[in-house]
Amino acid sequence: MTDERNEERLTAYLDEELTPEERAEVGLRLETDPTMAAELEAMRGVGNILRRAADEWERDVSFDGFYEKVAARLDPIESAAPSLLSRFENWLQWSVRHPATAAAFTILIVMGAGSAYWASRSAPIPVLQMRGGAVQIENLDFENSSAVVYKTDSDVTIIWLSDEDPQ
Amino acid sequence: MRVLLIVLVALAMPSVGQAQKEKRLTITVHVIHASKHGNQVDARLESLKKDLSVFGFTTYELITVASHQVGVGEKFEVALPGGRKLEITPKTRTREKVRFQAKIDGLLNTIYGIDSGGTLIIGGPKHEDGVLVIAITHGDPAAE
Repeated sequence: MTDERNEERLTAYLDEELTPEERAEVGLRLETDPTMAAELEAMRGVGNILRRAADEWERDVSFDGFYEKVAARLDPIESAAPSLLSRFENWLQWSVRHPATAAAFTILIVMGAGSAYWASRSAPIPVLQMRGGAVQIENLDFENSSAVVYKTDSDVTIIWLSDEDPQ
Repeated sequence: MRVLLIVLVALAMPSVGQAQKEKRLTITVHVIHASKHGNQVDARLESLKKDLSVFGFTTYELITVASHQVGVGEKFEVALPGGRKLEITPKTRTREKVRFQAKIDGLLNTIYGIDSGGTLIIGGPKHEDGVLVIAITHGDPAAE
């Protein structure tokens, strides 16, 4: 048996991958071949070293947040719409980073709301300001009464409808 | 820079709106109850009392005031006591003068021209123990 074949058999022997008959055959050879037995011990020693190193490495590894970290590196999946609270938090953070812009928008909103409020309130009743002005009556149709046209001292035109002269 | 531009545009908008409004006519209608009973004159009607002194009314009560901006051809309606209504319609407009049509159903239909800011009085229809006096002021002298 070549050295390469021996190594394969010994590796399988260590990994317990041999059939019972093959394991018995290798066991018998190990008893009669000291070179092969020494090689098996050497392989066993290397395996132990590697196993101890892996155990130490595993103790130093933290799997906290492992799933989240892996998921973050994968292609992003569309999530549900952010809640109102999270949107407000995002706006708050943005405002802190851009105070001047946030202040300008706030002022505009307040001005708009204030204008709408004052516009909605009733305007004060205007005082009647009699202003004279030249009036040209082109057509005057009074159905069931008489009409007289006056002009006051302040040049205000009065159309007075009446069944009788008020004076 | 972008924020400054937005602020400037927002401040300019009312000016644009105001400019649009000034192209329309402001018509203000005061509806007054005048009678010879009692002695009470609404402070806002002092100038009317002076112009109607010839009629001898001693009480002037403001019933309603309505103000509206209308364009040529647009009708402005004001409800009057007793179920009637006043309709005012600008017919034509020039730089100096505007022609109006004023109608009170069953009583009056007139077409007249008047200077901007001028007041026309229509009075006489019976109301309760006195008469109705309707003062129509055409245009806002301050704005036109």
